[in-house]
Amino acid sequence: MSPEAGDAGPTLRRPLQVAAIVLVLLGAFVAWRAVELRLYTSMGPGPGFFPLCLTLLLIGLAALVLIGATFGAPEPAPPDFVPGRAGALRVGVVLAGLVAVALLIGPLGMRLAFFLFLVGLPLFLGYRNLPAILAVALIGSAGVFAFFARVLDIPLPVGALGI
Amino acid sequence: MMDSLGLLLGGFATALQPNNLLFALMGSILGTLVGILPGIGPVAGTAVLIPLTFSLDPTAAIIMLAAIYYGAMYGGTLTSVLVNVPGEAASAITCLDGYAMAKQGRAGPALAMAAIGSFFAGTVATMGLVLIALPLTALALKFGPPEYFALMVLGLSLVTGLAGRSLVRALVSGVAGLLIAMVGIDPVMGAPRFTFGIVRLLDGVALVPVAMGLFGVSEILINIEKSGGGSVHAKLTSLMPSREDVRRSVGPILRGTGIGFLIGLIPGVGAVVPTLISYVAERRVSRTPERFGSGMIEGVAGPESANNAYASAALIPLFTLGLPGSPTIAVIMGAFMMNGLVPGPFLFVEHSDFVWAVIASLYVGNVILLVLNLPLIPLWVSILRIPPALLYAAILAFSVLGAYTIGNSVFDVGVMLVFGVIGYAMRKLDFPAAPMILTMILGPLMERSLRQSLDMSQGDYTILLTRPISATLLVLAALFVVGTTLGVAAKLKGGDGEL
Repeated sequence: MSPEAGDAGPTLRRPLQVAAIVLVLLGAFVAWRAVELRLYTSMGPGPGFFPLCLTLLLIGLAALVLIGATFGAPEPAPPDFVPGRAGALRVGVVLAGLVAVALLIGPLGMRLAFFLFLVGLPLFLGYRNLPAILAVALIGSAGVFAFFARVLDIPLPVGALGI
Repeated sequence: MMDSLGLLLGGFATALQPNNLLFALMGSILGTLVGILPGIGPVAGTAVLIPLTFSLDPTAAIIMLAAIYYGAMYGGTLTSVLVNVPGEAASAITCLDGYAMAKQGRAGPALAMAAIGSFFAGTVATMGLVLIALPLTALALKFGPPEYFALMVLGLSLVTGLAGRSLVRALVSGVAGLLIAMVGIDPVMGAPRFTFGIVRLLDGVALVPVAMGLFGVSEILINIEKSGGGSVHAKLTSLMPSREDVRRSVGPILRGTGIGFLIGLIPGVGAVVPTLISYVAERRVSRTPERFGSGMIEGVAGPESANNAYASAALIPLFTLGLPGSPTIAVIMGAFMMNGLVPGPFLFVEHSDFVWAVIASLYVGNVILLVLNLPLIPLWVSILRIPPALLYAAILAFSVLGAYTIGNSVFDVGVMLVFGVIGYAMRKLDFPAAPMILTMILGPLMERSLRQSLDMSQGDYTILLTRPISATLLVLAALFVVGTTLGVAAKLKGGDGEL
């Protein structure tokens, strides 16, 4: 989804067109599900009425975005609109790390999962002050666990290893 | 009125006892600390700290809880300004200009004016609680489903005031928020909607993980994409507000206080409405409305004052009618009942000493927060000096924790991450996120109110126009939408705006 190169540089024309089409398709799907619900009763709107109205509105607005992007003056894309390879990799890895933490909270327990995340992410981002990393990781894992368990009385997952 | 003042003085005598002062101080500190944790806003913060009060006598317990309440709200402001992660939905408004100020090296003035504005608003609202609670509550009693619907429509119409350069994109964001809010159980007929067989979705999509994802996670993803571990905040230029900052904040604080107080009298509206109205009002009266969102102190002072005035005023329906005005007040109401006290008109009669002590302690709590947090602003702002790689890791970890503890489930963490990606894409394409959050809250209230109104009128829509309060609010909403649309049309004609 790269911006088109206009006379004055990349524009948001294509990305906005794609976004608008995605919204139209999404709206159509939601509208289809909405009509399966009851639209109206003797006392007024049913469960499907508002969702249907809203999806029709969304489709109309998305169409306006599409029309504006296609026939209107091209909107210049910000200089950093398309992430460089390094930037995209950083974002991808961070997201993968967050998914991993979420999935590992149960099996590994909160302390271990968070400790690994709080050590791994700064190292990946190029920060090399190990004492600071370890301090933050310990506080952010064991310290927070203790605060929740002892002060707030909120149990957090311990995991299969009992850590 | 003189009787009320005399009783209030008696309340101060109780609230200023050393042990009660100590509990108020502890509550303020704990509330702020818990409120700072991303995703754990005033509701959750107040709720999780209730057990700490079990061993206290009822007066001390409620004093401590009220202090926790205010402290958690200020903690939410801290995260909104410093790291763009709203502690609760109402703080999302503060993110718009507060975080922009932080990026310019002006986090200190933002936090200071938020604290000062909150203090002023809380003080005025507490005085209002003393002086005019009963007469104004009579007005609030006139609000039925049609009036609530009209108020929500007015609130939704104000979303257009949050549009940046593109009104249509703001509306897309707003409509998307309304649709997301439709997920779950239909509020009137109890039918599941758009749950796709997922049991967790029967409760709907939780607001806090959505807000954390849209604002906090997406912000960090954008920063990490751009600079990895490099700094993205400007060098700190000031810790305290300048004379100009104070001068510019006076009007917003006064207006925000009035807005928050009046709306706080209406049970069940929620803190988002007054903060939104305050923000839009400041944009309207400003000579440079196009600069909102880029670090205008008015965009922090007004909404924060409205939020705090609302918080105090929302106690009025609780004390006088036994109706909780907000989710956090509902938690406090639960604490009342756990301590053997039933909020409502008889509370003033049967436990007068207790009520006035609590009211006095609200003011004391406000003072404590101001005294505590103004000198601590350098400490809070020093959070920005933490190396970004460490800061991002900590914020993301706490966000995961905050989302997880909502329902002890990774499902809400997943919601937060999904909306983090959506928020990232929205930022790239200049779709504002604030309308989505706001409509997620207002939409269900509006739908429920409309359907209840139609139940009352046997399907006759004119009920919305034949009742004077609802008709007035609907006309105001229409005027606002027309005015905003004309303004946008003028901008498009002048070449300064997009669809």
